[in-house]
Amino acid sequence: MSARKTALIIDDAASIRTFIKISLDAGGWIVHEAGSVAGGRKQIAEHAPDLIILDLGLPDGDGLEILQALAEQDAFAHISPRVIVLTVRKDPDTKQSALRLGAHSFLTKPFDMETLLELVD
Amino acid sequence: MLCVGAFGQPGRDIAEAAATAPQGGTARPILILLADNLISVTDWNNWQKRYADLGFHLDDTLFILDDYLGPTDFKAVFDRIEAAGGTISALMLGMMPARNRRRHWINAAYTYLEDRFAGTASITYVPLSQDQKDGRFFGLTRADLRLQHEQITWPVIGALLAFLISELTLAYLPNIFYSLHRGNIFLIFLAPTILISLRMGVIAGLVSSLLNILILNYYYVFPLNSLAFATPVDIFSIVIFFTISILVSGAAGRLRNKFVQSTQAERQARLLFRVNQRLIKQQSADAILDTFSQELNDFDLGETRFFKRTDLDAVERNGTEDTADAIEQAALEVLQEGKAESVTESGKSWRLKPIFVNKTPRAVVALKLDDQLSRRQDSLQTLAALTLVVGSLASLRQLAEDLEDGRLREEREKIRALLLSSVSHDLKTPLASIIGSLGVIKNLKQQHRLSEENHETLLQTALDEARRLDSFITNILDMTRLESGQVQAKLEAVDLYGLALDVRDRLARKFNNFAVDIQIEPGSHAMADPVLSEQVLQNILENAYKYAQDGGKAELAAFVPEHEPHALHLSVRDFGPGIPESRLKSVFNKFERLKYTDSQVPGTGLGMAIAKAMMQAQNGDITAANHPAGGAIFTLIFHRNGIDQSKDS
Repeated sequence: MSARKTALIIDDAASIRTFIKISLDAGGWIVHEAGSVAGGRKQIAEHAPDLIILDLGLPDGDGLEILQALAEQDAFAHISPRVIVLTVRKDPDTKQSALRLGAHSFLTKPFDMETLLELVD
Repeated sequence: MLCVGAFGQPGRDIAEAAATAPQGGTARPILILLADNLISVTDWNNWQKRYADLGFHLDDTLFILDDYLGPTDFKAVFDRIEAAGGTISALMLGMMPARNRRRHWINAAYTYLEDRFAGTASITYVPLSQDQKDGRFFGLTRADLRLQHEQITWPVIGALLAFLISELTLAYLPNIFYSLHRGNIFLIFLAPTILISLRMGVIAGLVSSLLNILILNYYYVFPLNSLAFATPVDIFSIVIFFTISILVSGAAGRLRNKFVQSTQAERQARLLFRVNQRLIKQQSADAILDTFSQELNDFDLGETRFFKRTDLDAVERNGTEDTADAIEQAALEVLQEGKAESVTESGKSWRLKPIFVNKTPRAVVALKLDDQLSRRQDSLQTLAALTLVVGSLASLRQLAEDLEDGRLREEREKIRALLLSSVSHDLKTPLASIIGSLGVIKNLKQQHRLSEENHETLLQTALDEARRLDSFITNILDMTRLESGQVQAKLEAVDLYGLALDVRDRLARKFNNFAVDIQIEPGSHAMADPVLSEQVLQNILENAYKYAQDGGKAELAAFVPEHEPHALHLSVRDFGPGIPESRLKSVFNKFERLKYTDSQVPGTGLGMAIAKAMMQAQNGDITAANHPAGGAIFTLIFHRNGIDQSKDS
């Protein structure tokens, strides 16, 4: 591993962010956190992360908005992070739209940390 | 076999027609027109339409027509048909205007028919137009042209009065009498003719004219004491008398008809207006039908009965049809068929009419028909109008109800989906954190990469989330118990100051930077359940802490409101962002919080709903408002009934 890779966790539940951060930290990632759509966008623009772990139910909007912005907006044209969606929503419609908008994978909570780590690598 | 009785066109001899009645059963219906010569074209068209409504065609029908039938012939016709093996299943009877001179005969015939066919044939009354189109003479029907005793009695009295007045004038005021112009005497005799023409019609007017001319001519026209119509003046006076009688009575007849029609129309309009006024306030189609059934007697229709579909369904379901009376059974049929019907019970005719609510018959009004045919027609018209108006009112209300139902269903569905997603969110997020945190501890420990600090953080996270899950489940259970009424408040005098101190101490242990300022006078008592009120206060204060922006601060105050001396208000003010005005009313709804996904603040979305339910269980309440200087104020409303006031300081 030459340079350390950057990850961004966007989830409104601090407890979720905490254990994912600790786990990724241990794996050598530089980890940033955000708790909202707006915060997420700001952090993406700032850190251009290689990995985004994205919750969908956020206080100021839907996590899918971030996927959409990544796919469509010029500001994010130069980055192509791997996005792993992490949500309590199970409906196939949500999963389909997430994958169509460019999400790498779709995990429902509660999830196995090992599965997440496999997807990250 | 169908037998139709009518009063119609003149026709062939009844005996001849009845002789051609088929032997045994036949598919060919027989239409018997029991005729009077007073039927109009409109009436005839009416008959044809009714006949077609029953599913028959005139082309397939064997006609028996008769004119001027007497009741005896009438019976013989039916006897012959039945003797030939025919069955009479339906009768159509015309309703004649009451002024028809044959009405006594017709009434007798109808009574006979109703008795004879009670329970075996349905009897339909077909209204005949009162307006006789043919046989009119200055607005008069031929019926008016037939003499009746009063059409002679009154002209005689009128003529005698005129004669008396003339004679008295002659006897007591001879000077005046002899100075009178001949035309003036003429006027004395013309007056009763005008009056009688006006009141009683053309026949009485003509009779009166004749009598007065004779008296006038005999006693007062030269040569006196003799009848002489020699001069053109005599002829002229006769023509004048007759013309006046005819013109005046014709005009009066037309006026009278118009008056009768307009009073009838006015009465009906008033009635319908009243029905409308009373029913339109009802909130449901059922309530409209119920109110109508209760007030049916006020509408002055005569004897009525009202059946609702639900009641009749019960009759059918319970298999009590056999014990139901004839009218009830007929009502059941009317509901099933959706068509008006007539039945006879104990010799009386009833007319049953369905009330349609959005094309479905929902109720039946049964009306006992008056023996007097004109009243029959009047009340049948009113019944038709009433059922129509009530039906359309109920239909409108039903449509509104259905729309409302659809909206409610949609709203309920939305709430259900929201509830489901919020419950799954509230259950799964802490679970995911617990599973994740413990999983990370296990992984990192295996790889010997778990620092002491991270171990501590992950354990604390798992513990916090497990507690959060516990409180969520507790709240759900509390709410369920409160909603199902399992929580019984035990009211006693509770010292709110002591209560506030207890809750503050407990919270101080839980949150280390929470300042609760208690501005309650020691000894302020309220009737409350000590456990429930403590829990409510704790919920509200925890909420205040959760939403507090800088550290945590809350103010508690208790006071007796000026306008409610028996209440005690305990207000909790926090210094958070306050509650948006649009949410003040819904803040106590279950899962309200989740509609706004402000889940940075932990919570179940049930706390406020539980607080409200707990206050209501104590006969109290809770309200929410915003403080003008910022922050929210929750007011716990307790009552003080039954508290020894001396306990209060």
